[in-house]
Amino acid sequence: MRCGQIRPLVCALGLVVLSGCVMGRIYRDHPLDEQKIATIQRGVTTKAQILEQFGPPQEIETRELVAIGGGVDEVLSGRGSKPKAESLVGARYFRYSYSRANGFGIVLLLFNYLDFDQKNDSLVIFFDNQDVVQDVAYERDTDKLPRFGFWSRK
Amino acid sequence: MKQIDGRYFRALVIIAGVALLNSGCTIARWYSGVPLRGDPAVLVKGESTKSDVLQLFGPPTQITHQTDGDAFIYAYDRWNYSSLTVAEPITGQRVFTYTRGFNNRDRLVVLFDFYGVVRGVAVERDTQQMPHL
Repeated sequence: MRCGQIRPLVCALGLVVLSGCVMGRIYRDHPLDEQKIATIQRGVTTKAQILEQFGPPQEIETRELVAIGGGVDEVLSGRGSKPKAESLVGARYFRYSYSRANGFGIVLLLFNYLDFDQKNDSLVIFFDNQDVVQDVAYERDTDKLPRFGFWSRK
Repeated sequence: MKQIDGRYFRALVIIAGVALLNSGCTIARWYSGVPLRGDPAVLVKGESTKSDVLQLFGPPTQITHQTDGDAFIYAYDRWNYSSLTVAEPITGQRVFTYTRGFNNRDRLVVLFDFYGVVRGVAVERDTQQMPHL
């Protein structure tokens, strides 16, 4: 092999040798216990039990819409002890979540490829006016994270 | 004349080669969340309930309230970015940069009345229309 023929090979080898790879992992909070999630029963499990089993939620929603009952005159004049108040709950829920992100990058001399993917496991529990579980939804998405970027994406 | 042309050509090749060595191309992909799970077409206004929606689509990304009921928002975000940079070979000063980024989202919004019954559905799938480069 002549010297002129070797040079391109050396250059190609140099490109590979001088390249780099970057990997990053981010974890936020802790994984949700699926065995515990399976025990949640609509209309049975209470808010206190949820707190006891899962601890403090990442997100709490306790918005109440209060409607004043009775006539306007009654309210304005201040007659009677207290105006009738009806509380209507818009949505009350707890959200538990576990977030993960995988980053992957290839750094070559002339070309860089970067891939960042973030997914969450999320558990949302809705309560009724008596603080009993009304609805529950859980999805585990962190399993779908690709380990090595584009090449391992399903 | 041929010799001069040859020299010019060689010089051009060297300059182009050095410029190429000081240039770079970057492709980046950013994903947040997962594509929408179910088919929003199965939701029936005035019939489907909050439980049905939770069962079909899982926990919503965001829950908001309107004066006449709640709204669930499901979102899947993607960002495609590519750039080409050419740098001056001696000082490393960038002489040309071209970047292009697309941030598209799939979104599903489900509106409920006070009784938790679906009264509106809106869906858009923009991530499928993203160019690869």
